[in-house]
Amino acid sequence: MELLKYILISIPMISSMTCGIILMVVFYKNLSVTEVPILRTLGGYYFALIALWIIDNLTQKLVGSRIFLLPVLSLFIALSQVCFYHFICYIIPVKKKFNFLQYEMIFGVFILLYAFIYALFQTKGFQQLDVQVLCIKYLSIYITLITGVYTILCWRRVYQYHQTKNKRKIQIKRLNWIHLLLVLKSIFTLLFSLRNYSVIVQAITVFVLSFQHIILTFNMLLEKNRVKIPIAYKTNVMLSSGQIVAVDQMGTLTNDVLESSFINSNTRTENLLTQSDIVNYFTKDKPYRKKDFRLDTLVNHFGVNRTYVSKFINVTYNCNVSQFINCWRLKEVDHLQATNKENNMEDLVVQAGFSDYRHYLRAVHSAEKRQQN
Amino acid sequence: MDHEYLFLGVSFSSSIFSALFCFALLALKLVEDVTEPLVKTTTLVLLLFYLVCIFFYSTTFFEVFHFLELPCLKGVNFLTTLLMPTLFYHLIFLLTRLKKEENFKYGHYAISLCLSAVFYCYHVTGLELKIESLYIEKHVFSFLLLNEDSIMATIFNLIYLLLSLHRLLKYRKNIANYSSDEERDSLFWLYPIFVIGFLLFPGSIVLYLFPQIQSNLIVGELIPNFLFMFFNISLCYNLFCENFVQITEDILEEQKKSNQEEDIKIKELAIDKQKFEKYIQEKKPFLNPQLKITDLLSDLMTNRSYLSQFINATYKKNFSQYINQCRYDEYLRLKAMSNIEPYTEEDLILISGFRSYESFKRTQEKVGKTKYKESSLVL
Repeated sequence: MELLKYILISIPMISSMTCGIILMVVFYKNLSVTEVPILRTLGGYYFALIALWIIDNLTQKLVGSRIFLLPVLSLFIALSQVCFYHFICYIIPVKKKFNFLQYEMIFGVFILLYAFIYALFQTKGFQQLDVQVLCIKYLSIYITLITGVYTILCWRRVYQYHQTKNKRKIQIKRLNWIHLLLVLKSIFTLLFSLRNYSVIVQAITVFVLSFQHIILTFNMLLEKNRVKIPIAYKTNVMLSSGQIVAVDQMGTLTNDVLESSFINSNTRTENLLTQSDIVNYFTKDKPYRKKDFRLDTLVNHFGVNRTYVSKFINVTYNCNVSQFINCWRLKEVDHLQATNKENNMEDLVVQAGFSDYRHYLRAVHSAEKRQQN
Repeated sequence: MDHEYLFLGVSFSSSIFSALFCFALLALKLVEDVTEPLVKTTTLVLLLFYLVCIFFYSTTFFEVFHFLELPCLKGVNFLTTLLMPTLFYHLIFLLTRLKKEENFKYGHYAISLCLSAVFYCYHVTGLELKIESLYIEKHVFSFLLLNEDSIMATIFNLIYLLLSLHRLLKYRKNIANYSSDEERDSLFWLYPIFVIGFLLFPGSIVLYLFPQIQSNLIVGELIPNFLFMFFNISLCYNLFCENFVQITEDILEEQKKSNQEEDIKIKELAIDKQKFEKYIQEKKPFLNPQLKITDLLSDLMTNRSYLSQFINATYKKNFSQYINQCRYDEYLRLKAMSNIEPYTEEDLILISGFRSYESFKRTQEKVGKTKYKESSLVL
């Protein structure tokens, strides 16, 4: 059972080690100028956590003299928190910059603590002092206080950011993960301050901490990945419409049609020319009522190769394109005759799209001939 | 507080939890980022690999410390030892595909599943005990029989690692003639992983041969487990950053048997050196950090193997080296210009088409070497 306990204890260290090493690898690759200090602070954070764990666990045997390590432990605790806050300051830009005095302050506290221990050493009752209890109590209070304070500071910074954002109406950056991170940190602080040493609470504390690390590393890596140039790969494809377009590796078509003389460029591959397309176009728009309506107009409208359109109509309607168009015009003439009787025939014929009465007669003639066949 | 116990705990949790954390990182990425299909499948394979690793280490842990004495535990452990190299091979296979149509044969998984099933039956039915009692007197046999699972696993591991290494080497030979993006496409980062892999998986047989090492805390436990942690992290990072080529066309060309006639044809069709150099100087295609040999074809109106042969023959360099040389020349040219003050050294390197400072440095070293050779020849 004791081994399991050790494993539980070592999880935060492993998590910070894993995440720290990943960041180190990133750090080793060249980074932009803004990234380096951010990663340096994060590295400091992980380093402080690892150092804290190692010092704490390796010196458990030195029962009484651990008091001399007390300042070192508290230094690393404070360092981890300050680094974390510093990191948050980088991520959330507010007018107020991070104050580097905080780093100096923790060193000041470190020296003061030694002075205090020295003073304690000089007192008469020092020999009777229960050093171990003192250490444990001191550390737990110290950790609770300092994590609490810095969590509040981080929240304040987020709050300030949101306020300025509302004032200036800046576009919201993707900061949801920071909120999640801070929520986890708050939970961690809360759990720690309970001073409940049951296994379940400890396990939750440990996993909350590891989860924080994962989120942190994940988002830092993602941030770096986003800068990456996407792999460009293009190839030219000839669509069934006879157009040549550029396609990238995802199969999405870019908008640049390389070779096209069409008005409506039909660049969607799934866009087929169907019979209903043609019928819809003819019934709704009645394009044949214009005198100059030709195969080319049809080609331009559908964005399909001229030969293909002609072939399509030949196969589907058993006639050539001009016969097909004239068929529609003849129907239009019948329709017009039925609706308005006042106009004479010649006007109606022109309205239906024939250029003159002679063309109309010829079209009627050829239609009758085809029907006989 | 016992230091030995502490380190034992740390070493086990380092391998298990580092795999778990890497798993979490990659899984998060898979959920968040809708990536390209190849990246997706590769990530999935790596996730499976981590999962199997976690199973392997936790079952080993249970077995060593006798926590949960389940009969199936040994079977699961054996299965995971076989699945680990298979999954790793699958991963390497995906990373080093040279052709678009190349598909992984899932029969590899069937092999490991069958083997472990056979082993499990052998173990459960009591056959193991019978045979062991028969041959236990003979010294050589007893060693083999007592450690039959680990020996089998080691051989299996070795075979698959060698297969993967073979694929990697073949891939690296071909990629230099295809892509100039050394940083990302050359899979250089796989070498340290392979070193660790060879130390870890087949290397574990040493532990069985010399049991006194196994009981040694640092050599037997701490170092292998931490090595495994690095193994995990390195794989995780490189897949996360997608440091591999996303195959969009065949990298390897069909090798035709060249006979005399074709050789003459090639010579006839060969690219004019002056024209080629003029094109390189004017268009500067090398400024694109992701330049591939196929990007040049449409402008040079030639075919890939001709161009590749041309570069190999005229400059005695592969495509990648040649392009990097061009970039280096461009860098020197930019540096010699007077009005470069707003740019830093790093900017110049990036402007001249290098992907990173490291690839620049590598080229610089190579150029330095050849120059040194030339000057020594002249002298």
